[in-house]
Amino acid sequence: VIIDGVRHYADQSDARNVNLAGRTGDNMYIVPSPLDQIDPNSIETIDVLKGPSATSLYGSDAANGVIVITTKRGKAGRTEMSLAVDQGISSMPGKYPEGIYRYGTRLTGSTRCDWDDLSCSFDSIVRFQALNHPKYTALGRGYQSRVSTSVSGGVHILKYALTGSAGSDEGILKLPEVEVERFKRQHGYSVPVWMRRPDRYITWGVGGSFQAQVQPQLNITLTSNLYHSNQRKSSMTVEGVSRLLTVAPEEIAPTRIDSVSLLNNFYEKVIAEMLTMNTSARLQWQATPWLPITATAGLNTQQRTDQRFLPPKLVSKGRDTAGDYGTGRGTVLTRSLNIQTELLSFRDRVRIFSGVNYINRSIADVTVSLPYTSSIPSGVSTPLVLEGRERISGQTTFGWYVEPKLNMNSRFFVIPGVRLDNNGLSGRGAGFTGFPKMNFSWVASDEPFFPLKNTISMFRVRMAVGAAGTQPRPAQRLRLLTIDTMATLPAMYRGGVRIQELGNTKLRPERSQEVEGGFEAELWNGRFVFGFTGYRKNRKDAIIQRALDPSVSVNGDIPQVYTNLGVVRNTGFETSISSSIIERSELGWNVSLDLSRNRNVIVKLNPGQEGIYLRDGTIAAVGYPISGIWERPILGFYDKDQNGIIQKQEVVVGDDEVYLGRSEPSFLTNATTRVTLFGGRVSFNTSVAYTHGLTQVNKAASTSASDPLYLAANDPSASFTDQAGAAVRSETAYAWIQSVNTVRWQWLSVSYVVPPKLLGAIRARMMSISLQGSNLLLKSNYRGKDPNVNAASPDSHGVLDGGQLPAPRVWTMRIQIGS
Amino acid sequence: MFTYNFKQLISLGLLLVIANTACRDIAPPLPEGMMDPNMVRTPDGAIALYRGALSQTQNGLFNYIQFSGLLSDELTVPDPSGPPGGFDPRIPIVSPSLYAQLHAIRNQARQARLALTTYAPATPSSLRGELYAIEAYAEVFLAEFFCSGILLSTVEFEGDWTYSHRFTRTEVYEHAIALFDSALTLSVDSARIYHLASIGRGRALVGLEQFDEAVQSVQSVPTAFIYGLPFNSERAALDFRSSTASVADREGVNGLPFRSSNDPRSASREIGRSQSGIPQFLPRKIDAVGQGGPATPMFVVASGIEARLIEAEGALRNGEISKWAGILDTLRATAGAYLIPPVGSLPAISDDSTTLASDSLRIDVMFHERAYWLFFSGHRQGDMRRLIRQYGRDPESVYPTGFYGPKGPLLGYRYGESVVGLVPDPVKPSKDACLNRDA
Repeated sequence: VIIDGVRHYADQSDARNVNLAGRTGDNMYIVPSPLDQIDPNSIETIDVLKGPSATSLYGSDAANGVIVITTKRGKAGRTEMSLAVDQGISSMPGKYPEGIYRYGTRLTGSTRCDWDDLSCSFDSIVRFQALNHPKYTALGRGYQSRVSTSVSGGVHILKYALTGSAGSDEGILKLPEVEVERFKRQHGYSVPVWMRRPDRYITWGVGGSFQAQVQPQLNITLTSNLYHSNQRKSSMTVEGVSRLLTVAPEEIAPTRIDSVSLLNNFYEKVIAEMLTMNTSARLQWQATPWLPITATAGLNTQQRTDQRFLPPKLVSKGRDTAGDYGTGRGTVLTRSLNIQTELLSFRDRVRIFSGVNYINRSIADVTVSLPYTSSIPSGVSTPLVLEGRERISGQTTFGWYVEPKLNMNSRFFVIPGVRLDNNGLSGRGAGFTGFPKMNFSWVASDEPFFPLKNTISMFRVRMAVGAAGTQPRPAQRLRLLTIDTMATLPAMYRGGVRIQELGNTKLRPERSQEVEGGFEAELWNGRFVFGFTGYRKNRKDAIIQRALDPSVSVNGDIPQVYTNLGVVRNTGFETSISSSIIERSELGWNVSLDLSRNRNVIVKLNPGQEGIYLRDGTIAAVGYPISGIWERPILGFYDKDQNGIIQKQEVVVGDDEVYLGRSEPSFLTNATTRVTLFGGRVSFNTSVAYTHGLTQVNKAASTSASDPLYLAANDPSASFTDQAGAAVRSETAYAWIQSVNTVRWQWLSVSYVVPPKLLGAIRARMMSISLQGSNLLLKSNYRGKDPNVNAASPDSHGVLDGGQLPAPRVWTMRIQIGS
Repeated sequence: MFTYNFKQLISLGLLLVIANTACRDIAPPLPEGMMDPNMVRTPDGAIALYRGALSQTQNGLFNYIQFSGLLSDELTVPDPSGPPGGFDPRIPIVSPSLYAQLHAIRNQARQARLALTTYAPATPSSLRGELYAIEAYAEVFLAEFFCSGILLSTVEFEGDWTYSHRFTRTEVYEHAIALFDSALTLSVDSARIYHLASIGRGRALVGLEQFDEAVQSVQSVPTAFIYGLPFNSERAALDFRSSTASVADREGVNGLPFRSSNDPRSASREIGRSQSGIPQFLPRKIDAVGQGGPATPMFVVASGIEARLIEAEGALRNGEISKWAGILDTLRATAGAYLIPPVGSLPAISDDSTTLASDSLRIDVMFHERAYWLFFSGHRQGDMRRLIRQYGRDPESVYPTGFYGPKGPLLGYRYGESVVGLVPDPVKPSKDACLNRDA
């Protein structure tokens, strides 16, 4: 992400994408990204650069694309002011799937029976879902509000734009009503607000931009934006919802609810506070008529203060917690300098651009915390153990590029280029790496011989060929060490050094070649626009993480190393069609349709890599994707004892995993339409997305004792197929693998622009009122709440579907006034 | 032909200066919290690696003591939350975690030893001897806990790694003995390390049923000898509590009465209850300072008491009953002072003649004494396997059996039949690579 010419890193490395106050394994504590902080109303333009061009301009770490954001600029003329007010309300659409609980009797009396328990005589089934029950659910209404304002204007030699915004977002998560009452009874005081409504995000930002025409040849733009965000979450976000998802009916009986609360241990407050300042100075200098120079110097400062807090004495039954507190502070400084110049221009036929990029980033974090513990033995003195960690790292990238633009005849353009990067990731003295590229563009419709000019008003063909590379990072290549500094460690170990990462000293750089081609066509003077882009990217010596045998473990964990897997090919296409079907003043109707597909496949494996397990359990095999779903298959089953129940010993499970599908959809489509009425005063916009052929292991269902398929075990009324899948669930998740298709009505907005004659009373230039709804409808064959949250993460404590909330439905009313 | 004026030349010069400065100032970036490997290529760095290896050993040993305690009858999960699973109920599972931790001890010790050899050759050779011994102890732990099929792979110093073939249990013991021999050779300048290696060698020889050689190995070790690794008792108490493990008492029919016998050698205290009201007991050996625990808490790796117990078992195997009883009685009279925490003298074994009436009872007494003297030190699992392997006992008369957990009779939960941890397959970590699962 580049904001006003200053580089932002969305991923600050694995160690910084989590709360700095500790408990780094929890994926709920993800800190806001730069895109979360910036006020949408302060943005003037957003550009997305992809393919070889992005690599050429911004370096190899931009090979996956760059988002370039420019904030608002002033315009000479009268002072313009604007005010936008948004108010929204959110909720979780639809119901959660019901759990199914089986009851029966044993010698000891009535009881809930496990499915595996053949000693239980079943007599009834109860369907229940606490998340659908008003008294027990943790899902309520959320509220969003935002105010944005801007002032801009100036004269020719000095223009300015000032923006300001403030917003708050209270999430839909709430403490169940029954828990609120129980807490007060148990502790004698009311539940703190942060426990009652844990999810909150508050942000504010101010910014300013000044453009000065110092001399006719010199233009200086100073831009500065300050953003602040405060994100509060609670451990209930992940663990609480997961717990509620499988609460059985008897667990909410009045006799139990006081002693065994629904959400014991799930009250930990986590705050991530971030202050970001983005300052840049842009100088445009026409040194000579043939030498324009543009230089942008930027400084991005990001300061974080994270905290987590587990209150004392929350848990009953002899397990009183003494409390748990941690804090972390971190600073990231990113300094960047970009200089671009046009070295040579020859009658607009040949223009040679060249530039240098310098980026230096330093990170310094410190974390001080009491270690997390669910309970403390009575009698153990407090305060307990203080842990301190300090992380300091830096990275510098220097790049130079030259890009001649050859204009053959104003219709055919050739743009070769080369970039040399000395990336700090390569280590000291690694030298420069070159990335050549070549772009072609031909506006065929401007050729004299082009037929059908009356129908096809524009037809452009383009193609780009480029090379990029990825150097192994130090942690991938080097055997890294860590030093024991914990104050609680006995003295003889302090200062001790241990190997932390095995590294792979033989790791080679990954090299890639990309070919991208496509065309744009406009028919009937732009009434119909068609675009197509196809790409093919070959990654040679692709750097992939793989697991090793624990016998070479150096830190007590299962060792993982990066390896040069072989050749991986990415192919795909993106196509878009848009049409203005009706273009009249009283009625307008536009439709657009996007279709995309991406495929990766292992083309060749380097020696020794055949059949290895990659980090996510995928098996490396030629002809298969690097992110496929593999599982041991159920080969057959037979009710040998003829009792109507398929038991584990009657199911044959294959020894070896088989490939079952891709973890990415076959294709994605997105349809958007816009209808305008009364000269554009009223407009309707809506969007629908369709995802086809996404293979998923519904792990939430496979591990939930209340999932219908899970319950098929030992159930003579269930099909033999379902019974077999459930009977061997501890060996294979084969029965829970689905090919998922999804239709999602993404959003709808209705806008009304107030006529000028009605604005006289408030002396406004323009005013609009709009209502927007998002996440309106989901239709899917996925057996669960939402396939988007069936993310299998090794760090999520095994909590999957149930532990993550799908995107809520949000309705927002917006009023915008300009003068 | 181009011409440049002064201003243009200054601009171009500025560009070159920036480029040159940037190239020279590129810092070697490392991930957060990581150190430059060059820092250990000095004598001080090599010694820091030695300290790190000891730290890794302390950490891994604590985990080994807990896991082996769960698989044996020392520890149990008093209130299991669901159907039987894991080591405590003897369900055969592939759990690479402990396997990786024990290998980490081996690999860190080996790296530190090679660093001392290369960068600190002037340091006492016993430091390298100690690391040889630690590497060997990790192999003994692997042999006592896991099935046959263990890999003893090597991680080259500053280089690549090489997978080994699968070693049988016997081969692992033999490999460990070879390492102990190296340790002994290098430890002539340190009686402490020499005794550590002597006891470890004896322990491995006992595993191979070579009692005469084992006795010979340990006979020079004084009874008061202790080699321990200090730990933070508060932290260890918290970790133990979080693991939901507890000191067991007559676990699964066959288990020893570690709590109800009130034997000071296996002392414990209640530290809380589960949500169902089941108490959890913490061993005094890791209890917090000031709570009756040891003044200087240490995980004891080897001790003179263990040396005497090896001698006693050797005597028993040779039919020297009075010698055997004499060693045990002497220990009971005097060795309590060498325990951590120390205990007073105990009544002599020979006072109760019924316990010595038959070979079978004497074997029971021998392993009872080992269980209590070496309680919570990672010996019991190996001893229970030896009872099956070397003394022909039925696994179901040695290991916990019957219904599992307080809800077992109600829900039909039972112990499994496993007596070992399963070695993960190097290629398919979800599967085991055991050559056999025998004791």
